[in-house]
Amino acid sequence: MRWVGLFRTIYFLPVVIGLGTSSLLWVWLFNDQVGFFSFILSHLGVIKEPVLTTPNTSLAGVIVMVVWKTVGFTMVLLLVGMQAIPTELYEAAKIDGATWWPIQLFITIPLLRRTIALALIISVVGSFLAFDQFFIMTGGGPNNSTVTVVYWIYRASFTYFKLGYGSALSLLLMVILTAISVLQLVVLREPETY
Amino acid sequence: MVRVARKSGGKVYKIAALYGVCCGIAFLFVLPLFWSFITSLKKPADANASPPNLLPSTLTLENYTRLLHYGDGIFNYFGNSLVVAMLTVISVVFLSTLAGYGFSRFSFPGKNVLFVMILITLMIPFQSILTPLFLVLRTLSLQNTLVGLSLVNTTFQLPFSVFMMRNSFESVPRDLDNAAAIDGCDSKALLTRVLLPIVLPGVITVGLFAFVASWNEFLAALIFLTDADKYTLPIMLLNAQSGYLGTVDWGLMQAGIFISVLPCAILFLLLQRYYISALIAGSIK
Repeated sequence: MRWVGLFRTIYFLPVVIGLGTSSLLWVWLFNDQVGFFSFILSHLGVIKEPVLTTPNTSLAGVIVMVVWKTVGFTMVLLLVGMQAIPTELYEAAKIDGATWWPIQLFITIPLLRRTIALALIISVVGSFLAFDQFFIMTGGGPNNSTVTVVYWIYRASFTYFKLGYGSALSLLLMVILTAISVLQLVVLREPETY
Repeated sequence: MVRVARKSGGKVYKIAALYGVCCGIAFLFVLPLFWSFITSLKKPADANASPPNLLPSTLTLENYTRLLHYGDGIFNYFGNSLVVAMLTVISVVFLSTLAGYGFSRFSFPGKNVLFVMILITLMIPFQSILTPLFLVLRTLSLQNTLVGLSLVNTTFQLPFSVFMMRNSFESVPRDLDNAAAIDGCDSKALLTRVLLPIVLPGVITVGLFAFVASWNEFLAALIFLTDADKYTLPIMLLNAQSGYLGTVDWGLMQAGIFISVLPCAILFLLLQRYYISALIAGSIK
C-alpha cells in the first residue's frame, strides 16, 4: 500500500505530544462555548450538557482524548508483533485455501497474544497512573467522580498536606503496580514460538 | 475475460475503500491539532467567538506576539522547558553511555546484581514515589529549582537508558575491542574512538527519548516548581487555561499549545525511527 508510512506517522503523531498539552487542547475542543467538538456533537444531538462537567460524559471525554493520544503507540506495538510472524504461515494457509477472515482469526490473533497481552498491561498500568488528564480536564469532578489514585495521592499530599497519608497511599500504589509487573513477567516470560 | 475484469474491478473497489478508511481516520487524528493551529492564527475576538466559526476571517500572528508578553514572556517559559530538557538529556546520555559501557565490557564483583537492581527500578513509576520524593527534594533544597526537576527527570529516565545503552554496546562484536587493543587503545580510547561512533544510534535514541519525556513532563513540574517565573511550558499553559478573572484567552492558549507541541513534533518527524524503536524496547524490556 502506498503512503502507508504517511498514515503511520499521522496516527502516531499524538503520542509525542505531552499528556498535559493534549489535555489542554481537548479541554478547548470540549468547551461548551468555543469548542468545535462540543459544537458539532451538540448539533448532532449527541450531547446536551457540557461534556467535561457532566457526570457520565466527563469520563467519556477524557477517554476519547486518551485514545487519541495513545492508540498510535498500541498500533506500533501490534505492528511490530505482526511483522514478527513468519510469512510462511500465511503462504501455507493460502495454499490450503484459507481466506482473509480465517487467517486473521486462526493465525494472526493467536500468534499475537503476547503482544496483545503486553498492550493490555501497558494500558492498565497507564490508567492506574493517570493524573494529568483528570487534573486538567475534569479536576476530579463532577462530584469527585473522576478522581484517580494518583490524583488522590496528589490531593492528600499537596492540597491537604497530609504527607504521611500520601506516602502510605504511594506505597500501596507501588504494591499494586509491582503485582501487575510480576504478572507481566509471568505472561511474557516465554518467547513466542511460531 | 469478463471474470478477470470483474475481479480487478472488485480489487479497485477494495483499495479505494481501504484508502477511504485510512484517510478518514487520519483526518480525525489531525483535526484537533489543525483546528488548534488555525485558531491560534485568528484574531483574539474571533478565537473567543461562541459558537465557534470554522475558518478565520483574517489571519494574524497577534496571539503569538501577545504570548511574548504573557506573564514573564513565552521565551522565559520556553527557556525553562529547554533548560530542564537539555540538562536531562546531557546527564542521561553521559551517565547511561558510561554505565552501558561498564556493564557490557568490564567484569566486576556484583555486576549482575547491580544490573538487575537497575532493571527493577524500571518497574517503579514516578507517580508512586511522588510524596517521598517531594520530601527528599525539599530536604536537599532542590525543590522549586530547574536543576532539581531535571535531576528527577534524569533519575526516572536512567534505568531504561542504561538498559538500552548496555544492549547497544553488547551488540558490538568483541573482535573490535581486541583489534583496538592491538593498535594500542586503552579502555578510554576504545570507548571514545572506536565504540562511540558505532553505538551512536543508541545514544540518539536515549537522548531523544529523554528530551521528549522531559519536555512533556507535567506532574513533577506541577509539584516541584512553585515560583511562576520557573514554570515550564505545560504549567504555564495550565495557568493560562485557569484564566484571568475567570475568562480564558483561547487564541493565546492555542498559540501556546502550538509552540509547546512544535519541538517534539519536529524531532519526532526527523528521528521517527529512533523514537519508535525506543518505545518498543522500553515496553518489551
